[in-house]
Amino acid sequence: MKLRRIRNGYLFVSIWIIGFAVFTLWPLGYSLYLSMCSVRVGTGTIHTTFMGLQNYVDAFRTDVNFITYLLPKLEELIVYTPMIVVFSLICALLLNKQFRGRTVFRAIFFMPVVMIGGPVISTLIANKAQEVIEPNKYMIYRFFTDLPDSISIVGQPFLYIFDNLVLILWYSGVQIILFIASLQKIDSSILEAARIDGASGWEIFWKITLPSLRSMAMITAIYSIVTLAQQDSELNTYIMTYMFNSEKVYSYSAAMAWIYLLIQLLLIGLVFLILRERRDKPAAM
Amino acid sequence: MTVTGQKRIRRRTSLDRQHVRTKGMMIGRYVLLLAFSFAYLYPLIYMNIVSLMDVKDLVNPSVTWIPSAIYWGNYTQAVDVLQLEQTVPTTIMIAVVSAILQTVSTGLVGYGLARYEFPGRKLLIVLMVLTFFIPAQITMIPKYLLFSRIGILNSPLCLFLPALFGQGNNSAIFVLIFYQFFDSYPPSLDEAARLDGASDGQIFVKIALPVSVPAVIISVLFSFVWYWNETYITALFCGSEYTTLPMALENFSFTFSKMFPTTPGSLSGQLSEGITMAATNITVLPLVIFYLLLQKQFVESVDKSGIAGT
Repeated sequence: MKLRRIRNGYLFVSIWIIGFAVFTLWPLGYSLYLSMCSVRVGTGTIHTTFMGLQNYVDAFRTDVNFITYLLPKLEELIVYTPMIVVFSLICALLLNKQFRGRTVFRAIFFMPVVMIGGPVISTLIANKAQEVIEPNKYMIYRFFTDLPDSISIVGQPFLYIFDNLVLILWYSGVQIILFIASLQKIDSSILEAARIDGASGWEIFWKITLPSLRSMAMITAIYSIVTLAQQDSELNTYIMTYMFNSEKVYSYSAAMAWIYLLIQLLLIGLVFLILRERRDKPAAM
Repeated sequence: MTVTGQKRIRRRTSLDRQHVRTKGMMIGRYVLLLAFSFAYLYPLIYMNIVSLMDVKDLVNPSVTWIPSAIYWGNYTQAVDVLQLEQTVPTTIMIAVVSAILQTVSTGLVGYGLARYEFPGRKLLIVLMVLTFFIPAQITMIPKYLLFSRIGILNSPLCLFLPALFGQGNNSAIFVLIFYQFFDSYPPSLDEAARLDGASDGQIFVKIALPVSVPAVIISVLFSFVWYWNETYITALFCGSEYTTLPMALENFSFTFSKMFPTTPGSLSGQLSEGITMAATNITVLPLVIFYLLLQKQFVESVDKSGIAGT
């Protein structure tokens, strides 16, 4: 009896296991192998010669373009992610309770989800459609830029937010939904109890709401890193087009992709360390 | 009125404070929402306005937000270059089939993980989560070689096969959604059915499937949208034979220059921002309409799926 259950269990997941082996695991391994080879294309087959980490070294030492494309992307990942998490949390708080027009606002905030992932965003960026504020026209901007250098550091984050606000919001769609779902999972009896005990809204927010959102914040951050990294970008286009480069066909592109992946994993690991639930602290629920 | 007959000013109680604070919060909320909404819609507004401007307006520095006349020429040109009669059906076909295949396979897998105990189950779940981190660029080369070897390169099968086997676009997310979903109703229903003599297959079809409708909806909707927008890998695997609408946008300037070779020195006939914006608008339009019709499903169904219950 039990055996039959086990067998049926495997039956349901077998399709994934096969798929994983063929379309994910093997390509992963082979890609790693290719990245450490030099490849020549013959007729109908390819010839590989194991080379060790030469491609990886080349990516940093000899390839000017790789670093040029990688650094801005890295900066984008590091700076955008926390902002996306913060903004989507704010939006989720705004959109959580019932109020007139909530459906309309939710529809607007979530709409970019159907537009990202393709060339639409890069075309809009290329045509400067996301520069909401022509900064030079505004006093605040000029105020910040006119500050002496030592103080203007303070203004940098604000300027950055203005310049990139549209994009940050556009990338926040799914994350907002995740936070809304999380907010609705908070046990209302705890909130009731706190209110009865006389806690102010502010206290409730910091001591109850925020801690219970911690794990979703981690998920949101990781999701943001992964999706941002896969967007249309110079780096990604470079990796794709280099695939068929005649000198280093397949292999160098694979190496670059692996480097990129390792960087993403590093960032994700960082996020995990910062945002994971600590076992020793008592949970709010 | 008090005993002394003087007018008494009522002390402000904490209830009043709360009332004012709540009113203030409401206004604050609307202000923030409106400000953010403006930021959200700005690119779309910009796109729509610029797409209606002809070249004279575009180069005219005094024309910023209101075109001197509504010019539809950008759209007619964009429609030609985008080759809508081919690209739209192709895109729909690829997106729909992939979405269905992916939903089916991830649903099966999610059910198996949720409702059955078997050795290696935990490991599978961990693997599942890990696959989410794998960017498409890493596996694309070996997949390209594999597909080439089995001869399906340049056909949408390159997308359909992985989707069918649970390795599609972001499949891990959907497996986890289905897993959460099937985990959320009591197994006693299954047990009761089993006592009545139902087979596992019948339990799946008669009990699990009807309950899973919200999760199926999310899976189909999101898969559809993500497959529609997926340009890189689609271009790589079937690009030479099949062109999707986003791919047409990606190659727009190239195709444009082939279809409308320009004479140097003349302003007319060149690829202007207006035409690009018109093309982008057209590309985005099907999905926006799709979204607006179904937006309730998109937004509300995530709540219902219970994926936030960690």
